[in-house]
Amino acid sequence: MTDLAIDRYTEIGTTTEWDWPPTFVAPQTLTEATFPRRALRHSRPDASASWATDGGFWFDTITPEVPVIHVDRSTAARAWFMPVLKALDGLYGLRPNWNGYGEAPVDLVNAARVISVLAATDFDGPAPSIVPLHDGGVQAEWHWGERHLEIQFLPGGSPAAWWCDASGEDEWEVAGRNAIERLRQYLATLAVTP
Amino acid sequence: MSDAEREPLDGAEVLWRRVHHTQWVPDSVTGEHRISSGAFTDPELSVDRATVHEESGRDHKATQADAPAVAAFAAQAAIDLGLQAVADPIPSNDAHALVLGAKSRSVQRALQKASTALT
Repeated sequence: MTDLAIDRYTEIGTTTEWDWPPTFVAPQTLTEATFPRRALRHSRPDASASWATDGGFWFDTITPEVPVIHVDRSTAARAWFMPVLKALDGLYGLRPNWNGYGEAPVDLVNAARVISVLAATDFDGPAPSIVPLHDGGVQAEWHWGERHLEIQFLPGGSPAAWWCDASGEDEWEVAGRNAIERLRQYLATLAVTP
Repeated sequence: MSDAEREPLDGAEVLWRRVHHTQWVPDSVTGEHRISSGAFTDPELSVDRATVHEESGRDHKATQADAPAVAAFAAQAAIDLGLQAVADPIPSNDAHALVLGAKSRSVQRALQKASTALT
């Protein structure tokens, strides 16, 4: 389990479609998205039943193979949400050894923490780049000239965030629960000053 | 080949690392792309020795394949970070080498900063 306690999510029913693009029936009425089956096959070959992550962020299945990600309506309406979802889906399609250096496929449950952490910060700005890591982890990152923000999600580890600006005087790195408040503060500036 | 049998590389050697398209990320201000620090997380980071390729008449495209870029950095940059840079030729790639050692976030970023992107 992660140390990030997320309690704002509600499970809101099921969906009837399961291929990409995700089943979005307008964020204001239904906030569900499904990942294509390939994602689950790569990431959770044993996932034939529901499971929970992040203390309130649910994945479950509408068939034995198809995961559904449930988020609240406000999260699904945020600017970053759909691009991040699509980026994550693209990463799930990566086969083992995806760069020729022995990489692991992306860990589905771990990758979902990108969404849960961004949601917890109330960020409503542009989507980060989602970068796969060699061990199945992912990294979300924004680059604005000389300002950089990266959040790394390693399988089984706490998210770790790093920020640096051009002066080099404002640089920090923080992990775990303390990252949320710091990220909320800095992401707010990124949302309004691209 | 054990670590002890691997030949340490001279710090002046240039190392090439293929950058996957997902690790070639945009800058929202400049519109240009840069190498993600996420490209440098592997504790056994595979690279190619530029000199071996060049002696055989090959350039960085040999490492790049269909990737958008190659990260080029001096072996000395890795050594200065406490890492080992060693030759590790394999049947399919006589230029193969490894940068060994755990890579903290700061080390990942240092390698990214030390790298030049070849496209």
